[in-house]
Amino acid sequence: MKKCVVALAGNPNVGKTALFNALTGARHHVGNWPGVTVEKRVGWFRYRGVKYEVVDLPGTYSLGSYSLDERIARDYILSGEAAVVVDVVDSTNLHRNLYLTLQLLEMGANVVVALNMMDEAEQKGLKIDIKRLSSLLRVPVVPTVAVEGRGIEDLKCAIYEEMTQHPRHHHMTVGYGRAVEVMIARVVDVLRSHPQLEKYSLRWLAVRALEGDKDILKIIEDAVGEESAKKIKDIQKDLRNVLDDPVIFFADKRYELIEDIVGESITGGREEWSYTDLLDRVTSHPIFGLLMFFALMWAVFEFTFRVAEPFMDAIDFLFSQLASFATRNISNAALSSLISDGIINGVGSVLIFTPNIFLIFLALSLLEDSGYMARAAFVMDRAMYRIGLPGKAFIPMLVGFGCNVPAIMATRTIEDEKDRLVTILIAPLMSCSARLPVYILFAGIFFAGREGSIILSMYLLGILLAVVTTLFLRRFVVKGKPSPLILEMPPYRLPSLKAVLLNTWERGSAFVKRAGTIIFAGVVVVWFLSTYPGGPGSDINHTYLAYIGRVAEPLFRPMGWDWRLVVALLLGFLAKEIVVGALGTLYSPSGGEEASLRSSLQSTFTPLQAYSFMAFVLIYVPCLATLATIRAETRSWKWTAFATVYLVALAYAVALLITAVGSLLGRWMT
Amino acid sequence: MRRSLSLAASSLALGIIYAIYGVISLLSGHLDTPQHPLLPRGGVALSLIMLLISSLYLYSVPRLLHDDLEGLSYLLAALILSAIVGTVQMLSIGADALDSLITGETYNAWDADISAAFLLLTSLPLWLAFRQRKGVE
Repeated sequence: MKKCVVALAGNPNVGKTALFNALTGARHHVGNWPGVTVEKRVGWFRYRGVKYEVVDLPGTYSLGSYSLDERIARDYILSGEAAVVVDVVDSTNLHRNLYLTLQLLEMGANVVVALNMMDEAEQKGLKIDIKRLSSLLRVPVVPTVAVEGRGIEDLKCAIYEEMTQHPRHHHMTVGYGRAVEVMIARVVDVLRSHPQLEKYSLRWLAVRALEGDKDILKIIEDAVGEESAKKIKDIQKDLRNVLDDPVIFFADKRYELIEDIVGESITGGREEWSYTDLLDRVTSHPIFGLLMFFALMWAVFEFTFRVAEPFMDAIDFLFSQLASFATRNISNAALSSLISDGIINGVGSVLIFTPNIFLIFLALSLLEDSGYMARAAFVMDRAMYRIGLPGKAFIPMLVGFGCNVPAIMATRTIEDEKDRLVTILIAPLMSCSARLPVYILFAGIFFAGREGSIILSMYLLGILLAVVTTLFLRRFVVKGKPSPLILEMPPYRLPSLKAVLLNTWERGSAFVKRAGTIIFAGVVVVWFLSTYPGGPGSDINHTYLAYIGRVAEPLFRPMGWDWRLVVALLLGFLAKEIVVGALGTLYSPSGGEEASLRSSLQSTFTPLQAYSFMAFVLIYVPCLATLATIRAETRSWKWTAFATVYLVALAYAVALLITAVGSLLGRWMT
Repeated sequence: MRRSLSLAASSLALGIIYAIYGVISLLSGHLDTPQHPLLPRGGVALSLIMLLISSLYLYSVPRLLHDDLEGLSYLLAALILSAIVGTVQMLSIGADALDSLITGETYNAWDADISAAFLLLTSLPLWLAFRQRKGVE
């Protein structure tokens, strides 16, 4: 029996998996692509005495070298293993999908277009002239509705016919204009007569070389040798004298052709907009989109702070009752002090923020599930690209608002090593949930009535410093331009309550677990250091903690912080959650009440000192776990040390600046 | 066309109301403005958001008059944003009332700022009119 390999290519979310299942039924196995952990699915079907092996390629928008998925798909097609490539196209969005089709045709692949989701196109009133589209592309085009199994037999027939005819050279080419065509021809002349390149379309290699595709340039250089490679580089230079940005030029030309093809083959389409179309006009708008983003972020923080208040008071009440119960009923002074002052007071002063943590994750999950976050990434990309960050960095940064550890791990989606390193180094400046209790405590005490705005200012300060840091890194440390953002915009939908609650629970419960482990251990250590050598009831000024704090205090004197704040900062190196717990133990050593801590802080500090302290907590090293993750992800002690020193120095500089500017303003206003 | 005209008129009215509320809210921190639950005193951030909602409403007016679907985009965005801000304010008021129950402090409902929630109620008829507008799936 004859065998034939068929590759399935296509954009993400075009029904490729449904088509794969419709073609192969349950006959498939799942493995990995060689050398990487990207899933590879291979299935089988038989048709007219031929056994077909179907290889499902990763979903991609193009065949460049921007992402791992693109490289896998491109390399597989280049290998020539597949006799036929089925390009699965979303018939409701030909403009976007045909870009990949054109690239496949330019590569010289034997393409069959599966025009999928035809039912949705019909619902939208789109009339696609299949014959015209097929003649324009010069490949077979088969309408399908993969989820219903419609058109699958026709597709099998088209694959069979494409396979049984001799490998053909598609004559449809994208025209790039006379001046550029001359340069393409010059590169093709250099490439000709090199046997290693015979299996490729020389025109495609030439175009990719002129676009500056590093992988393709490497293939060419290996094949043609240094002298010929130099000739190609000279042609590249000539091209750059004619064009500002060759990558954009070639993409524009392809889209011009797509516009013509779509214009000639599609008619109809009702003048109806979906809610997604309507909202995208505003949420993706360069100005209104950004303003909407900031307004929504304000709503998130207002919701988080205001709605949590009664629940925080309830928890505070519960812990104060527990502390006084322990004090009354435990006769051993040391044990009573450990349990009421250390454990209940310390852990309680952290757990009090559990409602805030759950509410902020609830709000972010609602935004994520509604589909808004992709738009937020899009509107932020414009600004981010300008400052030297890739659009994809927005996602890790957003995750960083929850916890910096997964944020740094989420940078794995960024392909370019330099882009990734910059994102890792700025991720700790995103204000994680562990820092929120510090803001809530200080904003509630020193900025009552304006807590939402003050806390939002901390988040904005973090973003601003991330921008400044990126500019600094891009200019002096990790030079280069970021890679462009390619993002699938999901339609807006009403969030699923179950998914939102699950998501909130997963993230929020992690905070409570940390309170039960690392924070518990931290507050016990703080209690010990703040109680001994004198023992329970002794003067806190003569404890181990006081000695440590006083050694470091002079460094922070310009900001007006006393040794207790310094100690809380030092302990915050372990985990930021410990800061509030430590303050609870240090400022209210004899009572377990939140009110006691509040009044102690209020009588000790000014709002300016409190604000500069909040800024310091925002900026300096988030926690040991984050540093460990930076080390693991960068595989470099150098970058881990750089991050530590840079963040501490930046925190100190910003806190000092806030103190100086605030003092000057205060004098000027009075 | 008639429906677009009424949408445009309502949008214009709400745009102006939100602008007035935004300005009052901005001034409330600096001037001796009268305190009333329906008058805003939400601080700078809320004032700016009210002005943003106002600009979205006003931006939609000329487009709605030309029967341009883009006008509906701005109208919908304004409606959603006003709904979010109003809902957050109502939740905050509920939380304040609950907090007073827990802490035993007296709670005076007349002290609450319900301006954004009031504006949300005012825009409800526009929501209904929007849903009946043809041309949106």
